[in-house]
Amino acid sequence: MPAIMLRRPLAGIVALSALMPFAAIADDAVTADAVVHHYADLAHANYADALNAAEVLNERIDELLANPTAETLNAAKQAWLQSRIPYQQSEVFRFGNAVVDDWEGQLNAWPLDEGMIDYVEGDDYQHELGNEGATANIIANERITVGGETLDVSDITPEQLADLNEIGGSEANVASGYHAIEFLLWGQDLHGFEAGNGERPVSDFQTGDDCTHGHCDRRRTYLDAVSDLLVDDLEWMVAQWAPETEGNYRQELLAESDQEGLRRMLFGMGSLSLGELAGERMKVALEANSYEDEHDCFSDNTHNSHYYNGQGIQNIYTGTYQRLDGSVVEGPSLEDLLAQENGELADTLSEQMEATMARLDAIKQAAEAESSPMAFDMMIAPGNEQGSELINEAILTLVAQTGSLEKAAGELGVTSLQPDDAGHQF
Amino acid sequence: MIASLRRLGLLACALLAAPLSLGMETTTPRDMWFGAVEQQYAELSAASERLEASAARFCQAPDEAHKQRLEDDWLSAYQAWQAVRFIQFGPVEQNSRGWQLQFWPDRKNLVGRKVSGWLKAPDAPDVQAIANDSVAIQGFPALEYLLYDDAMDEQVLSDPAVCDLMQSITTHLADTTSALHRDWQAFGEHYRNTPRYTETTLASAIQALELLEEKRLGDPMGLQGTSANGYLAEAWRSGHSVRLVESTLEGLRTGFLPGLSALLREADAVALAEAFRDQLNDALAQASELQPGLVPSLEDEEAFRGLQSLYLNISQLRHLLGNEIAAELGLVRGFNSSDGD
Repeated sequence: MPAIMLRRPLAGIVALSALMPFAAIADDAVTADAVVHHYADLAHANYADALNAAEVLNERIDELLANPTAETLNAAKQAWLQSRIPYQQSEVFRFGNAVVDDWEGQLNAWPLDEGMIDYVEGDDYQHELGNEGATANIIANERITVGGETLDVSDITPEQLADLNEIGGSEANVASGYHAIEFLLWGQDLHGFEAGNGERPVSDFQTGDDCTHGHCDRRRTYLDAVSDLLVDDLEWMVAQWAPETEGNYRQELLAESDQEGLRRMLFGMGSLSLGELAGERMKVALEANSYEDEHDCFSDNTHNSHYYNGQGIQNIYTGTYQRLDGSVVEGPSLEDLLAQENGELADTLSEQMEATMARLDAIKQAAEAESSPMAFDMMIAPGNEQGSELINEAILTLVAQTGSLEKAAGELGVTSLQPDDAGHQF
Repeated sequence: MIASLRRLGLLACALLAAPLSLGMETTTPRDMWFGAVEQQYAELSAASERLEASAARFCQAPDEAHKQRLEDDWLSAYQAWQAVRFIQFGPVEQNSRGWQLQFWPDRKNLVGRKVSGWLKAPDAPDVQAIANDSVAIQGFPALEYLLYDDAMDEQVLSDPAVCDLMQSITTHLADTTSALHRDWQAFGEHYRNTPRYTETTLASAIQALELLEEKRLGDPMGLQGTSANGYLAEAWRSGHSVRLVESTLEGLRTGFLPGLSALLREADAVALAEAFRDQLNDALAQASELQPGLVPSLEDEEAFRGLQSLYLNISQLRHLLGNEIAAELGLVRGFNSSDGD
């Protein structure tokens, strides 16, 4: 495989050798093998940041539970917002790598029927049709009945919450992960298309007579357990990408052919660009005017979730990841590799990704504006022309970059952009 | 009224446009696909106009006969859409027209929320208000809610406000399908002259079969890793889920198979064309034997076995097209809008 990859770059090297000393060229030539190795390094750094940020979130939640005040609740919310920055960038690793896709449901499943976790206001709560777990309310009940089966949930532990995901066979039954924590910190967003997000009072976490909405002890236990589980899950994923670790996913990936490594990279980038971000997370919400389809609906942080998804895609292309501490991880990139095959396409894709980031930034700026901010759930309101234009522009740039990713795959000799279909073939 | 006049004007333009390539000496697979799909869009547009007229008649004289006619016309227009639903590129992509006709899957009952929202509004929306609103209010599922949802026991369909809402939706639907038909005609030259549309058409049909297998049957039947849930079926309110599947298969037979057979003949792979035709006929025969709804079969073992047979037939059909035929023709599939979760 590497031999095939080198055949065409050689022509470029011959042409360039007239202009440069030979040694410099040999050093500069990027191999597919090096690009895939660096991809694993990027994943490792990105998940390590996600873990660090989740550990901070877990500490802030412990402080909130030790001393529930408006300040400690706010500090926990800020830590949650911060934790989304690395995690959303890491979603580019999801679709290409089954190890991530099979695991991520416990961390980032969405949309969720939050009535399974805690109290909700009935009138404005629309759960998945036919989901018996949608109003189970684990916090208020030591036993819940879903799908004709009664479960003992008197002990709320990280293991218990992991087991409760998708009970009754519905993907909307999400007991754990970022969005479960988001719901516990913010509460239901009852503002529809209007300004404002969830308004959970801190007294929901107070003890004794100060407790509001009942069952504060169980709510506190739940929040503690669910944030512990997030840290455990991220530790596992960091280990999967760690260098020189016997039998982890990184070794498995690097043992595959270079073509397979590139396929997983490109499949993850294209699937997140088109089907997931442009489609599920933006177009459905916009065309259906549906705030039920808003990604971070409790906190109204959707603009950042989308922005950092886009950033994650660009990271893989440029081989660059800026860590939370400001340091930068750099190395042989897909862009370098593509430029050796087709410089024009490499430049086009680079410009398209810049354009995508500019459009996603416009959404972020509108949502975070000092005066009259327009959050994502306001942008998707019927008749909001400015909002729909902001979103449509981002969709169009994502569609454009996906087209070039397909071409890039062709240039790099990746002939199939289909996902692993284990278990889905007849 | 304004909307109807607009359609007449467009029809006149369409008649002036160049007709099908009848004069051409050779008929390519893309010519065949273009012509067959043109007829399917024409039928969708005509059926939508019949539905619009039927809604108007019912609202003027809301009796049982007119109600029955309205339900029949709703179903036949919905089926006409299913027949051509395998075309997921070209004019149907503009303004999310596919979703305008059928917003689905609708796990969170957005259709119900949008319709009940308008039913509570002081004034019924006009066509323009429907055009500006959510795709969930614009299509066949919204009309199905008005015709069949349990909540409509408390609302009378013939109530002027309800009738106005229904007529705005049927007029908008007729406008959309008319524009879709006209735009397909205008798209014809580009489609026929652009070789890569051969791959696009094949990929679109494969995707339609995947949707049929995984989402339209597999999800509600509980065959995709989660449990059975009848609300995930299309047309669960009216109990016509299987009839809609049948219409898609029939649409593939009339709209897709002839062009595919020609393409495979060119590639010297007639056996694959025959295998696809036979498998499609088997699936159609199986679908026609089943009861119209999907939900009742979830509770009845024997009926469920019949549904499983249909699912297997469609799986084999998808495998044949997506694997064997695609490999024979060297089809390289790129990303599609259903990647992701």
